[in-house]
Amino acid sequence: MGLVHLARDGDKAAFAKLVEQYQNRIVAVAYGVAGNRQDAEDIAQDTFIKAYKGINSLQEDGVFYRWLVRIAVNTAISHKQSGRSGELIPLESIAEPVDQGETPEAYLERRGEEERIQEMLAPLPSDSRAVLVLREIEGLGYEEIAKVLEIPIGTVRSRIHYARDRLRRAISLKNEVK
Amino acid sequence: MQCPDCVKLLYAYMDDELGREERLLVASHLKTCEACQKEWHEIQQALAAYRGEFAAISASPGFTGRVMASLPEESQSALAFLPVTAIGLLLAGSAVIYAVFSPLIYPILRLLYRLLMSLAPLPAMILPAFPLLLYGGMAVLAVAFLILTWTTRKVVLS
Ligand SMILES: [Zn+2]
Repeated sequence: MGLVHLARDGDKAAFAKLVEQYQNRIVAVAYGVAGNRQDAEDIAQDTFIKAYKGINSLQEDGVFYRWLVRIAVNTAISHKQSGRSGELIPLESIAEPVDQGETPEAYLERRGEEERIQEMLAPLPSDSRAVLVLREIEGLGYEEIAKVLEIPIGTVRSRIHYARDRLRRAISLKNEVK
Repeated sequence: MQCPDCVKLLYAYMDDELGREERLLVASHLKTCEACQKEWHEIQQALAAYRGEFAAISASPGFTGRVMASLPEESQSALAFLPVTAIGLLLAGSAVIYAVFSPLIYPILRLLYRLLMSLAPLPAMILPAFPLLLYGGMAVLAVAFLILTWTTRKVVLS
């Protein structure tokens, strides 16, 4: 029997395995919308808690991942809208604990990466960030994105177009400044 | 194909979301047009930069443990027991209804039995040898009778 099926029957160990299996992808999707690590982790955690509570409503085991990503994207978008996002706080002012076992160099590298992602995503609205991360990081096709976000395929196409245009402008602007 | 048309289709082309005809047109234009090739490379570079930033993103150590620790307690097993609870409630409800209405149902049963006796004496004599069948059938008849009375009353009153 599949993990999703077991988890639906209340098997916590099976659910833990699902978390293990999908955590990185869900954190990445959340990161793509939220734009920073702390929010991404919170969103991903919320996503799995919601999934645990709602797994009984899932009709088919095969759609688990698509369903999970939809929860993640919606949670990330409402997280941003609710203003809980730490995005507007300057990075320097966030007292962020160094991850266990992380060297200071790795820590600085991570901070640099975070700043670059924030700069890159700054001009993009949440719905554009969502299509971009699903397309570029998750590698989903237009039709799949349309299903995940429950929007028409034409909207997917135009949002991808818009998101990439804005992303390119943000990246070329940054390169000019340097 | 002209450059503006080609540029418009580049994103869908790289996503392999074009029909066969458009795909071939874009491909052949790209082969010969330097301006569009430059555009193509710019797009690829920007997207590679984007993907590159995400390459190292992963959940922090202990993520699964934190999720599992913050799950609500036993919400799953409460749901799993739902059918059992429902059946239990149903049985208890029936018992209460029976206790309340049996003085009403019993005379109806007797009346129906007499009716059956006079209408079909032979089955009515054989039936008592099978009590389960008898009482089951009687109960069904009684309930049907009650429902009929109830609906008639409603129709008459309305
Ligand atoms: Zn051209």
